[in-house]
Amino acid sequence: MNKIIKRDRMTVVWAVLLLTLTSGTPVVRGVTYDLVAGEFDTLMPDGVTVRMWGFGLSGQAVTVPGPVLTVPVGDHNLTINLTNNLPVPVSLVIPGLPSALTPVYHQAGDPYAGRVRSLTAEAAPGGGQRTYTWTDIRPGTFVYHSGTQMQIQIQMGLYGALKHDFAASQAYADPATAYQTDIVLLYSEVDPSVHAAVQSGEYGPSGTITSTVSYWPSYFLINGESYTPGQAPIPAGVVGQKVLLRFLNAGLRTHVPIIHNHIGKLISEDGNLLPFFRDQYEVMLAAGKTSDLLLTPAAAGPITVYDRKLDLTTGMESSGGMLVKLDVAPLQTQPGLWKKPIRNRLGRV
Amino acid sequence: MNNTSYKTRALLVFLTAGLCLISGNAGAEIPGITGPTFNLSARADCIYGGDGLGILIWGYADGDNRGQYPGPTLLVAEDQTVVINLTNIDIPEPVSIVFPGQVGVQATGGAAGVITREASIGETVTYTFTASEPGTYLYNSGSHADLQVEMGLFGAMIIRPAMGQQYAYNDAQSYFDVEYLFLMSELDLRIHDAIAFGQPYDTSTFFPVYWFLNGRNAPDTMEENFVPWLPTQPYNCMPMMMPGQKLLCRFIGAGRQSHPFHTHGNHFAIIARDGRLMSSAPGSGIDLMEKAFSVGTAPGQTYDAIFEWTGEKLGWDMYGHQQDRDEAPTGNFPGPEDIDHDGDGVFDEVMMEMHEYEPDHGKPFPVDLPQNQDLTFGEMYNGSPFLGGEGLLPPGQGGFNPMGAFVYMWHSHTEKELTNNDIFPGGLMTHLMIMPHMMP
Repeated sequence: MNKIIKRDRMTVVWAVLLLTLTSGTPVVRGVTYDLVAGEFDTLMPDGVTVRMWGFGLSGQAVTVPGPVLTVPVGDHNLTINLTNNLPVPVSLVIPGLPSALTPVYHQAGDPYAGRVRSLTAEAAPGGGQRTYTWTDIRPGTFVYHSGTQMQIQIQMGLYGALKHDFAASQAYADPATAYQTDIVLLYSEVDPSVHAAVQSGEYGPSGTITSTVSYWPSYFLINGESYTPGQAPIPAGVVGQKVLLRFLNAGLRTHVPIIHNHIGKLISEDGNLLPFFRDQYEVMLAAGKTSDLLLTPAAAGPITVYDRKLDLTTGMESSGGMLVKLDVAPLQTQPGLWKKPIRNRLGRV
Repeated sequence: MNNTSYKTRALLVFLTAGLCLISGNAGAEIPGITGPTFNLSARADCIYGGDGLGILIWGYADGDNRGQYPGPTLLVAEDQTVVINLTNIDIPEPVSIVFPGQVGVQATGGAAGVITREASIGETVTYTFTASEPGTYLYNSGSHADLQVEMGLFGAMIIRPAMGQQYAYNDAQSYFDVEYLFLMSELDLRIHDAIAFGQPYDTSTFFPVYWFLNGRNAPDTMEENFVPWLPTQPYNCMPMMMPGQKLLCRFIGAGRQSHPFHTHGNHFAIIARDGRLMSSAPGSGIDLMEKAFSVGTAPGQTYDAIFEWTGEKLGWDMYGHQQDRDEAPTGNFPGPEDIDHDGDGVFDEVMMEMHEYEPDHGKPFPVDLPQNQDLTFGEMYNGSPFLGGEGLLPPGQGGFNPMGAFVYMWHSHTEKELTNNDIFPGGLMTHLMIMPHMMP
């Protein structure tokens, strides 16, 4: 997680540097990411190896989910240069962020001639490149994913999170959305039989698995990982400080994360600031949805976030799946720095 | 053959329900056990599906009583310090309880689990918290929950506000006359069979075939509370109200599926979600209240909604008042308020009933009633289309609705869920009965 965020920041730095160096020539202002789509094998905690398709930053490993892309504060333009190393065409869309789309249809001679294959222009298989641009990026948390044959490509792993803050450490225009720490929690599932069929070329109209209609995932992932007991918790700042949990669902099913022992404030859905925040202990996270929840932990220690859909298994093993621990650090007790957080009896600021 | 006996049974159930109704507006209070200290146990037991099938469950129980599906409804008052001692009697793996919506729950005893402390057989674990926010809540096992919730380890908790027993929250708009619990769950028979026979199971292939309201399938939802032939499913789900009353629905998603619970008869107003008022800010009342006729209660969510019914906009007088029609009046009169204006011996004007929708007062029934010989009678038809009315029926017909109530089906709008192991009707379904005001 942290590593990925760090990498993003480096990319941003490089992108800014590059823009500075090439000033004078007409360039698209804004952050640029060079993404690569590729395949790799991942080892699930129960020992099963699964073929995945994923995104990675150029020169780095391809991962599922892809890297967290950050559009810096004050920057409203985004360019993604996509290089496609997969054997099929892919493309990129970001639901919630409009851009000019040029759909791709199956061509004459193809048995599916006339049907839409991609929502927008494709990067050709085997190293093809395509540039996608967005202007007018608004604050929020968004899923980016393939816009090509999404019924198979998304569940193969071609997704990631994108975030853009209104101001430094403030998610939206409302000052009440300020936070000290933000955490991306991206939910997705894997049905290994579908992945095996794709890998062996048996997926499709003439294959052993003809579609994802009979989708029975058995791996339930948060940020690409199924929980294993003892897994290191995600640092969630200091007690009494605000943590912004960015929930994203890139899977095909609804999940309902519950914040054990806590109540949060739901501040946005699909990157839209809610006019009134809602006190909730759960987030109803439908497929494709994003929701931001502000949490102010009243006590130091671990916070468990578990899926109330109860997809808490890894293969057939229990105590896994969509569960994650956040770690809230105690207050620093150095004299002079100690600051008592203002909160009511429920721990809400 | 099976179908026939099922139908017979369904009829019997309706008969029983109808008879129960005579006893008045009973069931206006949600049954449960009162805290703030609860001694619960977790134990294996058996429930009956709506088709009569016995199914192994794991249930929470009140002390030494039998396991329940769902567990006992915990009734707590605001600001009480709630102590729940949970003893594992015979569940062959550690069990626990989590309380979504409660903040700062302290757990002691037993051993540390992934989410909270848990009790193996013979052990007791204690959970303590302050019931600081009134509302409707769920509790369920936090241990191996994909299996244990499936097996039945869940229940409801109601925190009553300081404002009074007739309020859901500390807000005047949360007033209700009657309240009912709608705890929704579902059951995958294969998993219960696998546990019963020590076979492997896979909860990720979850495919339920029974859907429950308060632990019962229709038509058992419409039986009385605590009927002796459903000893481990004590709670019914039989909403009853009179026109103009406020009926508080406490919806809880206790299973793994979302159930779009749908009311016929009227929309309801959602006043709270997750035990928190639909309010823009403290002190603003329920200003974010929304109207709906379905609420997609997702797993772990709770909603509170107030349902009202007055007969508004039916377009005809539901009491059968037929103003200015020189005919013998029908319905629940003549009464002392009836007037014979033109002295022809026929009452032709009547006073409004309590909570009657005024614009429809006196509007005639829009069709001519057919003759009895042209009708097939439902058991809930008592010979009159009017609320509280009654009419002549052929011998042996009707009779299940002696008060002349209006009956509306309330159910999951995922219609597949109106089955009991592939038999229709059943499942996540009950009826609302609108009772006439004539009752004492």
